[in-house]
Amino acid sequence: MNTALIIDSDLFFTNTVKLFFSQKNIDTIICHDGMHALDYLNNKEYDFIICSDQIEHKNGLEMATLVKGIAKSKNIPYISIIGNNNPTMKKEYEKIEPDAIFTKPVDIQLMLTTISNLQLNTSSFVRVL
Amino acid sequence: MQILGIFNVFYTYYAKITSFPFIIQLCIIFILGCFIAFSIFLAALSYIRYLFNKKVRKENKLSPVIDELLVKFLFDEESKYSEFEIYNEFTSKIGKLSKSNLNLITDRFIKCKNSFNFKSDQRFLTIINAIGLEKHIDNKLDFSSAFNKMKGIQELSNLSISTSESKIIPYTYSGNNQLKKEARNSYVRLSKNDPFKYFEDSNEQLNEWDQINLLKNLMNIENTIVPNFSKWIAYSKNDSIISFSLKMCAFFKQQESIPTIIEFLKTENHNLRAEAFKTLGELGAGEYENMMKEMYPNQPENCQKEIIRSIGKFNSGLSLDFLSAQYSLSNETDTKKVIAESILNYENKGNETFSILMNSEKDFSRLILQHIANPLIKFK
Repeated sequence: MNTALIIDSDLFFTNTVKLFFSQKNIDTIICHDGMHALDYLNNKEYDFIICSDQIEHKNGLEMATLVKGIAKSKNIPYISIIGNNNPTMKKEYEKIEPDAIFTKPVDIQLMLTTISNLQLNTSSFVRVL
Repeated sequence: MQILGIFNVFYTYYAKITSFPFIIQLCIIFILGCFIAFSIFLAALSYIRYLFNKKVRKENKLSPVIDELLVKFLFDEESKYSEFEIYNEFTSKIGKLSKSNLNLITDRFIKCKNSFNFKSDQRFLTIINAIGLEKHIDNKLDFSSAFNKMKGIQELSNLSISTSESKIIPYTYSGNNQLKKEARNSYVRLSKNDPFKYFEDSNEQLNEWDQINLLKNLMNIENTIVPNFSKWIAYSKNDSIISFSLKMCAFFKQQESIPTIIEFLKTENHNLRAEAFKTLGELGAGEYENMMKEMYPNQPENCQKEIIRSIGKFNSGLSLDFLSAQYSLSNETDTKKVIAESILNYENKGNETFSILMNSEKDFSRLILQHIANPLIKFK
């Protein structure tokens, strides 16, 4: 069974993704606060990371840099979720090159397919905006 | 007998009070009045608090159930559910679809719509029809207060129900200014034909909150390309719409609007001119840097600041001497601060020039430079 680490302050989003993933036999670990994200990244076991830019105490760009800087998480599929259609933000995210970028509202089925593809080939950069 | 006893006690007190001087009687009545008013106030407060807690408890209890139902009906691709099945499932798990329950479902629906994209809107519409959500929102529009009508319009807009456009149109010419603005903002998001038609003939001033709402709708716009805002910069007679259009040109990086903005710099309104300079900076219109430098001495302070900021953003490496000269010529503290910041962030040589300035300045001017150089101060 796969395990997802979801880092997002949006309770509705995390709970709904958790419900959806549970139907697909995917375990979920949820972190709502950027302050605890480092602990979660180092101490929990996970197969892919979904991180939004709406996190308390850290912004999404800081989180993306953090994930890519930790040996344990840097080769694990990492999906960034951007909260809106801000073109400047998109460009900033592309510089960090997460494995995939999704913009809210997210197509959850497409996200799941992307995760499966990324797990088969972790080196590709997918941009779904 | 007991009733007579109670009556007797009251009468004794009444007789005692009437035997007091008039001013004492007045004081007693005032104190009793205050006591009664305060008791009523406390009782009302407790009742409101009780209702609020009851609502929160209900929300906490029902929200996970609603979310579960939404995930089941919206994301389960393998099964198809009829309206009857959906209605039955909702009523069995949530109870009667009362006004308060439907309000809660609407809130969860909107959150869901904002967070998730559905491959097919059909499922979404089936649920809305099954539980009568559209009718519930329609009722808000028909016979209710302006506040409820505004809420209803917002809900229709957030849910992007295709039939909403026709329902919102009557309110776009409402006598209530706030309601009219809300309806027009929502129309931008919902209309498939001409979402920006109210930009052309609008006389109302958009305040900052209206502009935020409009931007929110623009970012969620469906099936429509974000328009080129330069046409409103050129032709609109409404200052707030021009200001909003300038901001949008910068936000959506509409490079094609640069010539219009340059032409717009001739405007007499210096606030809008300052906004135009700012937009040019955001768009990186470096080819007009020299023109802006020539305009600088004749501009009011707010325009000068924006010119300096824009030159700082262009960061062409050609304007360091200009910035240093303006720093020494300027008498305004605020302008000096903006120039110093631009110098500090200006290419590699900017740092050098900034150090020279720091060494040559004394007292308050030196304090300004120290303030600018402090990396811990985010908004200078």
